[in-house]
Amino acid sequence: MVKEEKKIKELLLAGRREPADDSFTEKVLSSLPRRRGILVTVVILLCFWAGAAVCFLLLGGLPFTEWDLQPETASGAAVISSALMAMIMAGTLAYALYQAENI
Amino acid sequence: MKNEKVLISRVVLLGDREAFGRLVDAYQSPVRRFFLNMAPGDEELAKDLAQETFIKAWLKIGSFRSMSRFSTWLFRIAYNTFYDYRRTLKDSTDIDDVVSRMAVSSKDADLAMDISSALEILKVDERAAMILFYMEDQPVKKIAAIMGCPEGTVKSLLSRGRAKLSDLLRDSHYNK
Repeated sequence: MVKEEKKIKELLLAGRREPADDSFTEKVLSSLPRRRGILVTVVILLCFWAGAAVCFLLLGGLPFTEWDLQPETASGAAVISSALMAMIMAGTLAYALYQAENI
Repeated sequence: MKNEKVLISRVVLLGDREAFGRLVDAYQSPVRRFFLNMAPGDEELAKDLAQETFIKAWLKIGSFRSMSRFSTWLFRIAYNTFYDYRRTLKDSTDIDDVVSRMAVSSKDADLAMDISSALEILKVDERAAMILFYMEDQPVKKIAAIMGCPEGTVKSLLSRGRAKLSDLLRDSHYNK
């Protein structure tokens, strides 16, 4: 039985080819679907939440009491535009990070 | 592989394609060889199935747990990919016809025919166990993890495979 097993192993190992193909890796990489890393996803979420938190604080009245601003005044408009700016910055940063994975 | 864990972490955390490319470089030979022997002789099919395996690995790498080795995890995907392929093939045509055609169309000489015919007499599970054990040097425990069955089942698959190949060898020039 040991002798037979040796022959079987010999037969199968004779067929043990090494199919190396340099273009294979490139072919696989070019066909990979888009996928974000966990860290990238977490960072995007954190950016989004940070932006949302800033907007909430700005629009939620905190600056109005702290800085004694009135919404109907020009300063109030500045607060709203700051909030919009914060949202845009957070969104832009998130988009940049999202794109960074493909660089 | 030396930096395997670092590469896997880069792929999982950052979705790093370059790191995944290095993993593909390292494992493409055993994976393609596995398919070449599972579907004897058809190199194009082996390439396609190997490509499918790596794409699945890319998409599911977040579920990889480092309790098992990466090669074991990858072979499990490869094994399931072959099973899925067989299932779709069964719906449209007879698998035995296709396997025979593959063997006949093989470009290799007598040796390939010998190995093809030797592997063809085995059932798919027996073939997978024999290939992983003898060609890929995987221990029984890991083959059981790859095939998703108990170690005892793998041992009996190997035993049946050996018995069938022994019968074949008795009638062939290998025994002379």
